[in-house]
Amino acid sequence: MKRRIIIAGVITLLLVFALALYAQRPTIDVSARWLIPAGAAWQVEVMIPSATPGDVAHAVIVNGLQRIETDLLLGTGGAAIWQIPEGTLTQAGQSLLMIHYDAYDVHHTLRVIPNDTTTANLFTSANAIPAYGEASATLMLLPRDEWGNAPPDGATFAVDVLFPDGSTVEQPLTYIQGIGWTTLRTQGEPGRVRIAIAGETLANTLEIWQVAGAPADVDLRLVDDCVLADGRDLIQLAAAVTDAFGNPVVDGTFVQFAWEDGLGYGATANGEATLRIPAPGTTGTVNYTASAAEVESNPVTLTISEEPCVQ
Amino acid sequence: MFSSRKARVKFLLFLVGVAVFALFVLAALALSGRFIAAFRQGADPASIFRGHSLIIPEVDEARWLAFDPNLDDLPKMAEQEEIIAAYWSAWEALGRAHLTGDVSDLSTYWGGAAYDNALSSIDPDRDLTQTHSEHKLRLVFYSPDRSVIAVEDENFTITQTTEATTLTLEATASVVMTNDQGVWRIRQMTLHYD
Repeated sequence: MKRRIIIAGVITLLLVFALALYAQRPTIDVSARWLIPAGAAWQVEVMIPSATPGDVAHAVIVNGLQRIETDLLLGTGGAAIWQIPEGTLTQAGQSLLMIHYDAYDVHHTLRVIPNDTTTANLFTSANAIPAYGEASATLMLLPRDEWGNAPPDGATFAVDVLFPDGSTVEQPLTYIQGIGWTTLRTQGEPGRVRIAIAGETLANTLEIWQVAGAPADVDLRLVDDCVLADGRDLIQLAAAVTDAFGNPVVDGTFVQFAWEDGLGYGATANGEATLRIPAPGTTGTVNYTASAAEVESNPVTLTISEEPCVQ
Repeated sequence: MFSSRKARVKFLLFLVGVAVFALFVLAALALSGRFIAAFRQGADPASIFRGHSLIIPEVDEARWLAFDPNLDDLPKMAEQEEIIAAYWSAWEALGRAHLTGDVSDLSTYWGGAAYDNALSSIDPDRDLTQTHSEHKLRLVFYSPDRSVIAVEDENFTITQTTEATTLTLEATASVVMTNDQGVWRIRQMTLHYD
């Protein structure tokens, strides 16, 4: 019983001591606008009634990556004002203000909201994609205000897409946490696709190319199909390579030329690959073929004659 | 008497000589070993492609949270390591810049608007020590061409110490990083302190 009384007495004493300490804790009143646009001037009013004029409170604000701090000289009634000039608190997000006085501190959060979006990087996952709706690219947008802040979630953006066939599509973007994106599917024939983003304070454009599909047809021809058997002529093979829609394939498509005892290679330019080789020196005929990807051409026949060819 | 003393001195000199020679031999062996090892090791092939080392942070320093299976594109393990290493290095570079005032390293890890903000946050006249830990990256978006990533770094800790105060901050960051010719850089960052 006696022990319980002692324990209760000790606990009571500790509580009284804690309450006394708490009562001595200075009240730090802070008033300010807690929501400001990025870059705006800001003013914090600090009031510590128990402070003596001439005391100093330390103030810190962490805004984005920057930390700004100052010593506030407290005046009559423990009042002080911290004025932060325009163009200082530029980083959007939730900033933290801390006022430290006499081993005590208080924290407040300040919301800095982005300004109107003024610039945006617009880019795609591919600059050239197969046409006819056969492929798609991801279109991405990095919008920001004059201070480099991304708009908040919920911002809406739409891009206007002009396809080579003249049709236009307004493509909405998904926008989350600083990046907007959408999947852009090709439409119509090969050609230039113009993408534009426009707003009251924002404008940007981008161009990508819809290109022909994979080789579907190789049309081989001989520029001269008859040469003299004197071994002094050159023959020229020309292979026109088109996709399934009859459009010339993209430049640089690899073409292999083949004949009885030889191979040659070329790359397309404007849908055509050419090969110039010495003509055989023996009379007779030689068959040539050309292939691109898995597609092989019709054979063409060269006649090598002892007499001048009859046109 | 005299000759035996002379012989003892000679013997002592001999012993000292042997000891010094042995030390020289040991030092030569150790140095030649390091010399040969340096030649055998050669240059880090990755150094050709990037200006920084691939230092993967410990799990308590930075880690990925589980990916949302509904996302279209997910980074492979090697890409995850590359990205989290670059993100960690970006914060490390910022810490070094705060401490030394030397900002030359910042552009390796920071780009665009985020670089401007990081650069303007450095005050060479202030002695600030900044540490960071417990980064937890939640994937928001990863582009199909593996060139852009958006992540949310949830509830990480930053400790800033100056002569006047020490601040421990809990923060969440919305981050967009881009792969610029093989190097991941933070391009956009919005910080929320609690």
